[in-house]
Amino acid sequence: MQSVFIVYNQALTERVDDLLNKVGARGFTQWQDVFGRGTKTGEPHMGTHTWPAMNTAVLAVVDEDTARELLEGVKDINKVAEAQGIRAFVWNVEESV
Amino acid sequence: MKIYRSAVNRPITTLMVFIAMIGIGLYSLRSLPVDLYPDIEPPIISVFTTYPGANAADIETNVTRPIENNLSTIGDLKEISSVSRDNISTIILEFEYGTNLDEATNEIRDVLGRIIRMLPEDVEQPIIFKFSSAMIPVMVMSVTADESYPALAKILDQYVVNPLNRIDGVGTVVVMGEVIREVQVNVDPYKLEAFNITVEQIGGVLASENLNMPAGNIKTGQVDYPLRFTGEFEQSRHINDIVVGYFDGVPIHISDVAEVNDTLREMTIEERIGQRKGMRMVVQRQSGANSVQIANQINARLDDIRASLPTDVELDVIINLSDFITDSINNLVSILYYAAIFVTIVVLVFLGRWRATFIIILTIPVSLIAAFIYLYISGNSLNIISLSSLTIAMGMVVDDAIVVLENITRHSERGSTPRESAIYGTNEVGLAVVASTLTVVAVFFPLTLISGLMGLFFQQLGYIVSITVVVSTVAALTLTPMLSSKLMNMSGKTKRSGLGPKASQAIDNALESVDNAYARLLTWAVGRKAMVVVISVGLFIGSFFLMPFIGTSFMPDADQNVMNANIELPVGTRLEETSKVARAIEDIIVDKFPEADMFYTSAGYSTTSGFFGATAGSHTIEILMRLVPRAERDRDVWQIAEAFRLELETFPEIVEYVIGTEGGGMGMGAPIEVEIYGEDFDQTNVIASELAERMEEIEGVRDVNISRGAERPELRIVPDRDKMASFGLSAHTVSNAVRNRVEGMTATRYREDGDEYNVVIRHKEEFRNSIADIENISLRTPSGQMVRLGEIAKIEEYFSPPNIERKNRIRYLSVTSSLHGRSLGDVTADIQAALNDMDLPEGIDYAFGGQIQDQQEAFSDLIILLFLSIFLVYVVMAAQFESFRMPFIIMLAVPFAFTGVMIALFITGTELSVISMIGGIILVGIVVKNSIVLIDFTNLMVARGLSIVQSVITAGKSRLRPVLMTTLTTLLAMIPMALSTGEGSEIWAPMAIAVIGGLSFSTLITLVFVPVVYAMFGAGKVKKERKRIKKNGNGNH
Repeated sequence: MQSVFIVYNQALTERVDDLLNKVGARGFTQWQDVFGRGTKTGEPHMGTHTWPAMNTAVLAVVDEDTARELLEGVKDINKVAEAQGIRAFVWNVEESV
Repeated sequence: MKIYRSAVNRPITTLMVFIAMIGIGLYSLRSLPVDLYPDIEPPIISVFTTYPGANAADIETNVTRPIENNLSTIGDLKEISSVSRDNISTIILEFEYGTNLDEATNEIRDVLGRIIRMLPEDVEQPIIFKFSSAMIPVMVMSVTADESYPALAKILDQYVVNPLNRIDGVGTVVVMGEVIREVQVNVDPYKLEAFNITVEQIGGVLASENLNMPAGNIKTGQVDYPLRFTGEFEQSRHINDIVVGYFDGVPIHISDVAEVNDTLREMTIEERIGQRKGMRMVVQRQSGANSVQIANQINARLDDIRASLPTDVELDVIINLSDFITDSINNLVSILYYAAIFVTIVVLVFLGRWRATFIIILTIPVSLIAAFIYLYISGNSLNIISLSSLTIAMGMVVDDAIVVLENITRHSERGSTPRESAIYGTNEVGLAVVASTLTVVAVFFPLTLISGLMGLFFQQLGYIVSITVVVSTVAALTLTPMLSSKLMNMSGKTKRSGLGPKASQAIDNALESVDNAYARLLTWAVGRKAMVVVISVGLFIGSFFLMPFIGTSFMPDADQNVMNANIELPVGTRLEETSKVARAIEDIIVDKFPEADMFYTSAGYSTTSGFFGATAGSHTIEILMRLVPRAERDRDVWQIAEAFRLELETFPEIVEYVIGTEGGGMGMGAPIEVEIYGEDFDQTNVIASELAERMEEIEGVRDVNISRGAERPELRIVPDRDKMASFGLSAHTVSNAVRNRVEGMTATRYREDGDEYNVVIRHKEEFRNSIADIENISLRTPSGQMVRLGEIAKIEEYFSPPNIERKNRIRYLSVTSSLHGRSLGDVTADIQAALNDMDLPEGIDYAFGGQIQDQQEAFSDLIILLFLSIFLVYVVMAAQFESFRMPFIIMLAVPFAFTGVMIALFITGTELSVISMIGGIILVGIVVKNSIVLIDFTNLMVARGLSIVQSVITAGKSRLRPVLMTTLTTLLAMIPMALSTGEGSEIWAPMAIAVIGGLSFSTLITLVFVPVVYAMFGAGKVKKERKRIKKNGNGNH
């Protein structure tokens, strides 16, 4: 099992929701209105007057194949909407209850 | 759940809410009455008290003063003034606007009830009268006739007045110059004396002869008959046969001592329409009824009415107030359409896409229609003020939608789905949009707080703009995102295809080069801060030097196609002489004033006009000319008035004249009125005439008039008390006897066809035409002797003031004048100088009244309002930017708006009036909005880490288009208003001129000056913040 953490501009919520459904990732946790900024490029998403955009984060624990599919999907979204900002991080799940 | 998220997620609900609103709005629009101005009920209550037989001075001491003293304690009373004339005292109580007049009326009634016993015995019950705007005539009609003239009153009553009265909303129809039938019994006093009969005896006999009376019942068989005695005269000639007494046993008939004439009452007025004899009818509406509707209904009935009249009777409409209203309103409606078209063009040019333009333009009808709902609910009408308010709002309601749509487009260009770009795009700018709306509301809402006459005008402006702008913001936050999520083409890259590829490309390039040029200008300016500041401040200060060249006035004048003149001949001139002058003037009008397509002259005074015609007398002439529409004549109404003045000057017998151009009773009082206060008649008369002389010499002053009429010759019967007492006569019997013989005694009423006519007994005319005749009047003493009036009283000639005016319980008189070709402000200054030059004695005071006073009050109100607006805008912005300094920088745009207003007024030669000042106040909101857009974005750039200078330039370049766009929408919405030359355009054009001047100038300055000042002072806080971060960052390491 792998956990996939996707954090993205909330303006992409719909696309990410669709992606999760498409790949059949039923279980996930979502945080709305989270802030962040990228390491290299991209505007900060701080929900302030200066940087009004905000992020949503999703943590989905899925099998490896689904994780691949998710990453591919995220790549596609990023291609279409590079300026909005979407990132995904994957790591192994050691144990689960 | 955020409002825009719900709106986007539930498009049908959103659509339905707005459709429902539009539906209600259109229904309201349909039911809205059309009028020239908002309904103004002047807070004025008059008290009329008649004291028959008393002259002006008696009335003042015995009636006016006691009533005034007691009424002055009533609450909310602003001013109490009075006019005491022969027989009648008029007290005018002016209350503060907003006073409950019903309560005030009750209070007045209480006071009058308390003091009526303290007044002389013969004083009649005072009449309380509330003036209302319903008294302004809706229509004035003329009726002329040849052979039917003697019966005209009856014809009119039956065929015109009654049908008109049946029309819904018609209040009263007053007939002026009415001829009234009267049965006159003209006695020969010498015959009466010979037969030892008095006038009173004849009166008594006539009254007792002309009698119907129930005489009981008779029961015969099964029937109960009521019994009636019918002794009323069946024909007026029967009066001849009545026996009034016996002399040596021989009966004396009325025909033996008198002539009985069934004729017309002696006229006190001569009405001529065109050059024919006729009458005038004034149609007034019921309170709350709508003039335009009434006029339309009357017009619809007029043909039927004409058909029912005898062929020689001609009925014509002289003044139709509703024509001017309808024309003005239609004119404004077309201005509104033009404004909408211009706004659409601007949006299309800047956005370049049809769908986006459609979404934005849709906010115009939505928010304007909301204003109709407000008007309907608040019981207002569609009038000049409400429509021009809509025009002002027009350019502003699209602003929010533009900002929202722009951000949504940005999101979709970055690849979000339509729905989400709509939601998050709106989310990001929502707060800014609300804040900028708040600043506009901060400017317009205080307008609703103005009190007084101005308040009635500008409350509507305040409410309408506040409401439409708020509704437009709501629409921008709901309808706009909803529609963009459905309609916008979200193919990633947006194309400007709205105007075809070539035009789009050209516009794009043009806008691009403007952006670049502006960026270069900014770069240059930021490098020469001191110079920019000096030039700007110089321009601002320099504009003050234009001040002396800009005239000031109260309200702009409008050419309403009507001119009227009130002319006075020497007091005491008899009607016949006055008529001759009127004829001569008629000839002049026909010869030299072809512009008049209809006119009437009215010599003398009407007995039916009641209390209002009281200043008229047998020596006055009233003239009214209706002119052909402005487009069909070369001279405007003021030139015609001036030419008419020159003609009047050629009549040596004319003492005074006043020419008005307001028409339709919409006048706001004389432009210039100087009130002179003082108890001493002689002193104040001297000062008034000196002032009048000096005013005549001032340039631009016309029709100087002194309100206290010239002293009038009067014959007084001064009784010798001792002699009267020795004959056993009382003042009451003597005065009544004289009155019955000269004025006439109404003995009874002759009835014919349901109408009643007075039967009046008096001396034949040849026996009451000289002082000797009066002295020869014989009176019967209680002992039955006859005594001549000359034996018990002397007849003396006196001069007395015909009217005594008081204001706030001090005697005063006013010198009034009209204006020609010079502004109110300039002339006022000259009059002030003349007054300063005059040596006013102790106890004499003066004050300005009329439009001068109105102007001064209105200007000071508006200046307070201006500061209130500026203060509120500051408050809103300080909160928005969380800064004391930012609002100052932003508001630097405001002074230049005023510079622009002054330049525009100067160039166009427009006077600074209340209307153009309102334009100035509106500007505070509009120009600040521009400045906010610029500064807000600059702040953003600084916060995002750019250097101050870089931020200023980047922000300027990026915000130039939105600033230009919002400015242009407002400007272009105003241009049709400024350029309009139609009916009534003179009234509102100054506002548009002020806004255009102020906005264009301040925008130009704002775009350079504000960024430069920002670069100098604006970023202090940001710099501090950066230092703090640096320090904290260092500390943590």
